[in-house]
Amino acid sequence: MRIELENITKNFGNFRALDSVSITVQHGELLALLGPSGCGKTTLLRTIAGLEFPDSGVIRFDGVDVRELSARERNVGFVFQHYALFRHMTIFDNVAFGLKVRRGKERLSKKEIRERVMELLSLVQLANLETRYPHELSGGQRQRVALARALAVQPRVLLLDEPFGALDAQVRKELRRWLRRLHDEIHITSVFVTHDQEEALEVADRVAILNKGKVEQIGTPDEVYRHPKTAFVLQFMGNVNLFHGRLEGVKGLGYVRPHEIEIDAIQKFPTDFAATVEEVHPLGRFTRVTLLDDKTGQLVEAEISYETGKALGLTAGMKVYYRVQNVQTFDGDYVI
Amino acid sequence: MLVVILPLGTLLAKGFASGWQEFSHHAFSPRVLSSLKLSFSTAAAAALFSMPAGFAIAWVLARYDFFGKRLLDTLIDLPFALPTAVAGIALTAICAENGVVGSLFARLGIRIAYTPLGITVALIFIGLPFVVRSLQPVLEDFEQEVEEAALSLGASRWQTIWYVVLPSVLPALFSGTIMAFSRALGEYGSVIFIAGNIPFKTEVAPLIIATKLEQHDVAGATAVATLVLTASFTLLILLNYLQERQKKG
Repeated sequence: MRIELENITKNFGNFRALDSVSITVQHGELLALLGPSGCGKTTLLRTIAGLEFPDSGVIRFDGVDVRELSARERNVGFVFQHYALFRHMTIFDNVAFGLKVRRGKERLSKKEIRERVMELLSLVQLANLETRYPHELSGGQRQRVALARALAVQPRVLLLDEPFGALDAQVRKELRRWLRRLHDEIHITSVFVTHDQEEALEVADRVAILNKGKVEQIGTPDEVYRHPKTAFVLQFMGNVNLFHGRLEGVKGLGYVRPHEIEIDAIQKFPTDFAATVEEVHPLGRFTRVTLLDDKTGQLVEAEISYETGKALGLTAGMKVYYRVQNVQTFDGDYVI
Repeated sequence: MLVVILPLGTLLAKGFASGWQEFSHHAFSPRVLSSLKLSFSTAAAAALFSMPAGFAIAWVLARYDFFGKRLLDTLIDLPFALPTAVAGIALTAICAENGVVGSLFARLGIRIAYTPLGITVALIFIGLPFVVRSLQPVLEDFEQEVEEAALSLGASRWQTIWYVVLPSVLPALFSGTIMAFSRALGEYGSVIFIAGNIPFKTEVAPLIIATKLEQHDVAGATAVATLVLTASFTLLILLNYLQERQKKG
């Protein structure tokens, strides 16, 4: 299903949570809403679900205006950060809930419900746990139950609010890869909220970056990472060093990612900057080096390969030179 | 522990001091049995009324903001704070045939004061706060998201309350109701005025105990007290079990 959001604005008292947001989610796509806390991403997701109603703007599902429809009538699947499972029900009853509350013609027989639930439980790889209760399951398992429960009603769209936010790092990585594979299998239009840029880049087809209730940029993970349209996006997508008009051909602010800085023991070019090593942190594959620019006293963060760092014999207090390989500006064009 | 066990133990010892024969003679006399029947039935009726009514009040207090909410919240505690005799006299005045409420019901041919119905009204008055106060925090803690999940899965408001909210707060609801019931069972002050205390009709068990004591019939009083105590104690154990369950969730 295709979701169109047009100029959605939402206020909570004096606070503007969403400021004229327009996004289109394509049929079958997995879109990430990415941004810092308080940027409005969860409010936007809840607005799509019908758990929150915008002050102005239009929401269309496949071209049909759904503004007047409640969460109950929109037929969306919603997955909450803290699972929101029914704790007095077994896993089976949790997943079956959406089917059991149906009345009239839409109601399935007991046998049909059982078949559907078991099918879903095997889809989320929890087929043998149907008689357990939520508190007997791990966090990752609970979130998969929540997902199966949401999918049981065959929603037109799946909405996930920081679905991996409450899980530890290892489970989180596994689960997001699994979600990506699941989406490739069932192709349901999905929107998920996250504050973790790595997660958004890894899982989503497209990423919408929100800041202070506004959309900063929408694009594929590659687009938003390599070609950020605004300084906010650039800074949000990873660490960055700021240079104030010191780089050749750059008038205003220049943004340089740590891995775009090269360190050398000797000066090779006249434009190289002299610096003193402040800190050296080997972080596995690469080494993070904090430099203190001799002339400006500015701290510069660089990421170089572990081997290079070792070859240079970097230690705190050492005098080195660094050069910038790539710089991005938002006043003019790229300069290489 | 000693503070609890010592008087209870003494009571039991006294009750059976002169043997089972003597005990059963006092405890199972027709007048005592009729008062016990009355006490249990009115306490049960009051508790059964307080259960849904208390849920509704606790729900409103936990969920909605409205004008006068603070006042209502404070009023709930009134029966806890009010001397029971004051409550009894006030209720009698209201429910008597010339009282505000009593006159309305009198027109319908229903008498409240000096009937089992009047006793039940008094017991609701003192028992309702127990239900409200044990439910309210549990309802306030109940995750909004769980209700939203039910809603997004297509459940109606009533289905959500019935299948999702209610089962989760059931232990608290039961423990509140049991507290209301056991308190009602032993209630004296607020009941004796509205009851009228007609033997075999509106005479409650705690009154029998008090009367027997006034007549220096200690053995008789302890015998009746033992019965009421046994009932309360059984309920207390049940209550404990339910509270454990609510904690475990």
